[in-house]
Amino acid sequence: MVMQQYVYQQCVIMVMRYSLLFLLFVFITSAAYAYDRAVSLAPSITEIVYDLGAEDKLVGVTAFCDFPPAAQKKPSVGGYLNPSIEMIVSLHPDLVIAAKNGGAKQLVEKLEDMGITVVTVEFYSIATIVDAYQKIGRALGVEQQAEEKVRDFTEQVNNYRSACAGLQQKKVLFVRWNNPLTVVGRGSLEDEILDIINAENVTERGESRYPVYTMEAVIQSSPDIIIDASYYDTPGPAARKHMSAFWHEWPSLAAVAHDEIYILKTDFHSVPGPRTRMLLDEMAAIVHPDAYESPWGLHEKLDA
Amino acid sequence: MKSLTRKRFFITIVFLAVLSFLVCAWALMTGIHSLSFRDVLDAVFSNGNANTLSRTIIVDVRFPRVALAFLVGMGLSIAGAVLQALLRNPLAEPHLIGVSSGAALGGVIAALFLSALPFLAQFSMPASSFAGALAAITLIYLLSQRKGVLSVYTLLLVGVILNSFFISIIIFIQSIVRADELASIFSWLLGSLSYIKHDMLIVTASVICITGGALFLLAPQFNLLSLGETRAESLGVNVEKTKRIAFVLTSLMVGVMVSVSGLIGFIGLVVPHIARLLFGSDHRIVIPASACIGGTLLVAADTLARTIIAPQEIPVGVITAFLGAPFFIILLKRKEMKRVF
Repeated sequence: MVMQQYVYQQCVIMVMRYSLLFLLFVFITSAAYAYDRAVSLAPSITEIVYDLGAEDKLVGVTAFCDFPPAAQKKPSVGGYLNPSIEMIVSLHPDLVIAAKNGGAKQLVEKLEDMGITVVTVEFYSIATIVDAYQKIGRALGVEQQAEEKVRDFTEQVNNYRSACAGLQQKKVLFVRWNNPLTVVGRGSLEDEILDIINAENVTERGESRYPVYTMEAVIQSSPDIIIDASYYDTPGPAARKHMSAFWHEWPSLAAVAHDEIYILKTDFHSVPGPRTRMLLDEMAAIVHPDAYESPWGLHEKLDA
Repeated sequence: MKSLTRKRFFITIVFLAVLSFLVCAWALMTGIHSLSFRDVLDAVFSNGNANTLSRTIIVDVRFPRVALAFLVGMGLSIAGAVLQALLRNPLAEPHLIGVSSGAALGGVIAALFLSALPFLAQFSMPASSFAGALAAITLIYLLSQRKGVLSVYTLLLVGVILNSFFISIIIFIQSIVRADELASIFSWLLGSLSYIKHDMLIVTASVICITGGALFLLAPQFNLLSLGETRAESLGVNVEKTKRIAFVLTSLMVGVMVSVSGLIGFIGLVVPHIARLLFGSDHRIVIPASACIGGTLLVAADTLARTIIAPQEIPVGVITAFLGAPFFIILLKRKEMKRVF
């Protein structure tokens, strides 16, 4: 009798043990389930997927996803703001990754309504970029790589923050577009980078991340340095002449008088993501030329 | 122009209905994947052998879009025909009288303040742009009353002024808030038919069909109204009542259309004129003919908009103006436009 009870107990324990193991197995596999046919709906997302080495899981990109150049070979689903739902569907994706700030709210609702899984990410700060890396890494089963990238990125940010704290603070105006004069305001990614490298963004606190500014406000804030990123790509000779003429109408500006106007080359600064690390290097080299040299050489003084 | 007979009415309507049907069938077959008419039938009647991809494309992607394009084209044209009759002004169109921008303002406010609510988020934008449209109607209606009489001239003026006023508020909001939060609302305002879901489609269809049908029933009164209010009155039309009902119905229709598809211009202005040039100015034929022509034109325009540079899309308003303007001018030159008003 006792013997039988013992055997019975052992059986129960065994069953429980195996079912626990089974549950654990189910849990692990479902947690690690990775999508392998993803469509990216923003250039930043495409860049991150390539940076994580998961591009073989990317079956569609937007017409604006041109970096890395290989991304242009992927099938295009159309524009950034109005991709073709028909094209997305016909690629049989199991996942669509969309940028929240792409104005895609209705698009996301429509795709979800059709039973497609959508992951949304944002790109207006270091924290949101980190979050995008983690979300995309998790979804595509490359968490390890994502964690490494995030670690490197955070380390770079922390290094700049501590090293720049001792350097002289300068006042910077970052111009996104000069007609109308649109500048980098508070709460934007560029503003955060300025803060990291111990530079003061001269823009006043306001609701807009990229406010339109008057020249009067620029003069009043008297920046030491102006970074003019008016052109999303390397400005050509005509564009440089135009930019130079624009600023030299205001010789009373200290930055103009001391020739402290810089331009950014290529379009790396307009797509937050992997290349934000380059923007960090570039801006540190502009603001603290004695302490840092740019490893990429993507900025230049605007000559008179 | 010959007078409208029962026979002519039916021939015209049957002809336009067949045309609409053919254009809609073409629209369902055309796209990134060309599908045959057979595929369309299989998908619609969900035969077991239908291929899943073509089914998804037809049922979930193309059908809602084509249906919405037809409904909106129809609604805008009916609204245009009614407003042109009501205001006795050939330039009257649905977006002119401030209702659309009122709806747009409602939508912007919803995107700003209500999108945080978890439950309401999905319907907050259509619902509050509809509320915006209703508020705008009420305001225009109250401001256009003079000694208990609804003055059409005051209404036109008030509408135009409120339109600018609402748009200025929208632009003010745009310049003080974070741009990316409103990006979706501004792309919606430009007019898009791509993101409609089945549930909203049903709501839109019911509102447009009911209000459109009711306006069609008022057509004999519109005929008399276009002779002038005093003459209409003497011929036994309750002018005040007709104006009020027609105005509220039109506004209701416009509010719903704007909330689902944004501001799509041109159709509401030009289609009623096309209908009048082709079939005469009797509103009993102008209203249904405008509905068919407007629906067909917007379906054709939207199909071209999504296929010309596919997978990228061209704003549908560009195509409607591009197709409609030359067509209208040819008609105008061929038949010397009789004074309709």
